[in-house]
Amino acid sequence: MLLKKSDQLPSPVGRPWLHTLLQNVWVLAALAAMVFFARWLENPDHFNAYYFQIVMMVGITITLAVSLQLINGVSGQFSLGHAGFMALGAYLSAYATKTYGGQPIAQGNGDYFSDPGGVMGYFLALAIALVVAAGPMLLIFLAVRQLRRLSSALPAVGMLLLLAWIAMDVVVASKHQPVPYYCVWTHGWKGCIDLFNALLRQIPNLSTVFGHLSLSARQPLSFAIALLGGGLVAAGSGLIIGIPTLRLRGDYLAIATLGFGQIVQVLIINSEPLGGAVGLTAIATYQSIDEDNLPQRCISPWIFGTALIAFLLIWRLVHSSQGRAMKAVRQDEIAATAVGINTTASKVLAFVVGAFFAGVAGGLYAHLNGALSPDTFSFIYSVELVVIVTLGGLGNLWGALIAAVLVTLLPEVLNNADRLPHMTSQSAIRFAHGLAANRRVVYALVLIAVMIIRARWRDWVHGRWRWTG
Amino acid sequence: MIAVGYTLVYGVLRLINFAHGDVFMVGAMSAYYLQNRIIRAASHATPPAIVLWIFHPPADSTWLGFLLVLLASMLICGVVGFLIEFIAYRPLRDQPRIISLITAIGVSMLFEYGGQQPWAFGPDFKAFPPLIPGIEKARDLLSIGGVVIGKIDAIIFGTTMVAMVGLWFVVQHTRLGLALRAVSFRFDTASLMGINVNRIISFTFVLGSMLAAIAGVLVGIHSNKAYPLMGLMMGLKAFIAAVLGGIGSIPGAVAGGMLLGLTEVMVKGYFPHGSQYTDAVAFVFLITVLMVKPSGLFGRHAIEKV
Repeated sequence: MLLKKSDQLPSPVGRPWLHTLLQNVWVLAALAAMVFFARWLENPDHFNAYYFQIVMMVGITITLAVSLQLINGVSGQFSLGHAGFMALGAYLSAYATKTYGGQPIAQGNGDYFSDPGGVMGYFLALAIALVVAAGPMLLIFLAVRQLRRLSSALPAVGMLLLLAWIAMDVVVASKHQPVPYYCVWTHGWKGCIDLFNALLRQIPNLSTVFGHLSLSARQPLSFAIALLGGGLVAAGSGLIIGIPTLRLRGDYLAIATLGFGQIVQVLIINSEPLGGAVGLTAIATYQSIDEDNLPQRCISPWIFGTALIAFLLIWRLVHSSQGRAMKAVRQDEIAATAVGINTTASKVLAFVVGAFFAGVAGGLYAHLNGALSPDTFSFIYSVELVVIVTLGGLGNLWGALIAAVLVTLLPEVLNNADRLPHMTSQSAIRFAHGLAANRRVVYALVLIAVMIIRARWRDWVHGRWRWTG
Repeated sequence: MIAVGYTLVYGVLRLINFAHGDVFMVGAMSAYYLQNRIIRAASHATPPAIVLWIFHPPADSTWLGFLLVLLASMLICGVVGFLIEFIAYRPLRDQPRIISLITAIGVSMLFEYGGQQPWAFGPDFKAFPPLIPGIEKARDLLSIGGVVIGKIDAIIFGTTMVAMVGLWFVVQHTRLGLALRAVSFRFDTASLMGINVNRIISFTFVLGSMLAAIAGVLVGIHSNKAYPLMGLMMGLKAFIAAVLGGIGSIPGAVAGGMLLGLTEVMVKGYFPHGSQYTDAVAFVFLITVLMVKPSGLFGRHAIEKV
C-alpha cells in the first residue's frame, strides 16, 4: 500500500532531544526571561525587600500550582494535602541547613550552608528512617490486601484488633502517667511521636559518618542537596501515602489527603526539634557575599529555576505516554484499565512527582523567609492552591501558571492601590482595598461562579436559560 | 459525648457537603444573635398555662426560650441549606462529582471567610449565652443507675436522641421519607416513579441543615463560645464519623460519631499531652478505615457497574 508523504506521521528520528528543545524553545525563552527579570529584581536599588518577597512568592506559587495541576488536573486525583508535602520539604531542608549549615555571617565565617557532607548525611539517615518506617506499613498493607481475597470477615476482625490495641494502650498508659520509655507497642500513638522525635535527635550522630565528605563547590551544592533532599522526602512520603490512598475515588481521596496534611501538621507541632507550635526560626536565608561584604539576596535564580524545571518537566510528562495515560485515567478509570493502562502506577507517578516539587518549593519557601510556622501549612493553604489550579483550568498548565501569578500578585496590587500611578479616585482606592481585604470571599464566589458557568454555559449560549442540569 | 451531636447528617446526603460544618456555624451564630430577642419576647408573652406548668421558667433563661431559639436557628439554617443547594449544587447535578466537590469547598470558604469579615460575624469569639436554665451549675452531675454524667451532657444526649428518633420517623415512616430513600437509590428511576427529585433533594438539604443547626446550638452551649471557624474541624470530623459508620447509613453515622468521640476523649484523657493529637488521631482513624474497609463499619459495599 502506498502512502502519500503527507499521510506519514512525523517521527522524531535522529535527534529527539533537539526536536523537544525546538518545540519548547519559546517556553524556555519566556521562563528564562523571567529568571533574568528576577535577577534584576534582586538589586535593592530597583526593588525593596517587600516587593522582592512578593515576586519570589510568585515563583514558589508557580511551582506549587504546576505540581498540583499534575495531580488534580491532569491525572484527575483530587488532592487536598499539597501543603502537607510542602511542609515536609520546608521543615526537613530547613532543619538540615540550620543544623549543618556552618556559621552565619555575623560570626565571621561568611559561608552559609558550608557543610554539604553533613546535610547529605542527614538526608541519607532520613531516607533510611523513611524506608524503615515505610517497610512495615507497606507489608501490613499488602498483607491486608492478600488476606481480603481469602476472607471478607478479616477487615472487621482487623478493626476489632485495632480497637483492642487502642484500649490496651489506654490501660497501660493510664498506669504510667509519664511515659517512661519510647515503646510503640505499649504507648501507641504517643509512642510513635516520641519515636519520631528520638529518631530525629539520633540523626546528627548518624550523619557524622558521612560528615567528612568534603566537596569543592561548597555553598550552592549544599543548598541543592538540602532542597533535593526535602523534595525526595516529600516524594517518598507521597509514595507511601499514595499507594494505599490512591485506590480511593474522588471525595474519599480528597478527605484522606486532607487528613495526611493534618497529620503532618500535628507531627510538626509536637516535634520539639522542629520548633513545635512556635515554629522554626533563624533559618539561614540563601545569601552570598559580594565584594563589599554585603549580603546579597540571590535566591531568585533558585526559585525561578525551580519553577522553570518544574514547568518543563511536568510539561514533558503531560505530553508523554505516561501523561496520556494519566489523562485517560482522569476521563474514565474503568475504560483506562480496559485499554491496558496500569492506573495505579500512573496515579502514583503523578502523586510522587507533584509531591516532590511541592517539597522543593517548601524548601525554597523556608530559605526565603528564614522562619517557618506550622500554621502556614494548614488545610487552608492547600485549599488556596486548589483554588489557583481550578481557576487556571483543570488540566491546563499555562492556566495554573497564570492563575498562580494573578492570585499572588492581585491582593498585593490592590492593597497598594493608592500607590499606583494614575490612581486618583478615592472611591476606586477604597474599593480596591475592600477587595483585597475580602479576597478569600471573592475567590470563593469566583470559584462557585466559574464552576456553574463551566457546567451551564453551553445551554445559556443557545438561549436555554436553564438553571438545573 | 458531644460527638453525637455533630454526626447526624451525612447518612442522607450523597454529596460530600463541605459546607455542612459552616451551616452548623451559622446555626450557632444565629442562636447567638437571636437569643436576646427571643428570650425577651418569650418572657413578655404569656405562654399557655400548660407550658408554664411544665417548665417553670426562671428569669433569664427558659426552656421555652431555648426551644424557640432552637426552632428559629433551625429555620434559618433550613433556609440557608436550601439556598446553598439551589444556587451552588443544583446547576452541577449532572457534572462529575469532583466539580460539585470543588464547589462545595468554595461554598465552605465563602462562609468561613465571609463569616470572619467585620460586615458579617467578625473574627472574634462570641461568648455563647447559657440558654438552658440551671446551666450555670453545669458541673452538676446526674447519677443514673451508677453512671455519672454531667447534666449538660445528659441534655445534649437527650436532645440528640429526640432528633434521631424524629429523623428516623421522617425517613422511615412518611411518604417524603420514602421518596427520599428512593432518590438516594437512583435519581432517574425515582423521577420515573413520579417523584420530584429536585424537591426531594432540597428537602434533604433543609433537613440536614436543621440537624446541623441543632448540633450548632448544642455545641455552642456546651463550649460557651461561637466563632466563624468553628465549623471547619467539626464538618471534617462529622464526615469522618459518617465514613466510619458507613456512608448512607444513619445508625452507622451515630455509631461512628460515638466511636470517634469516645476515642478522642480517651486520647485526651489518658495520654500526656494527648489533646494535641486528637485531630491527627481522627484522621489516622479515617485513613485506616478507608484502607481496611472502605464501605465503613455498617455500610453496604457499593458494586460499581460499568
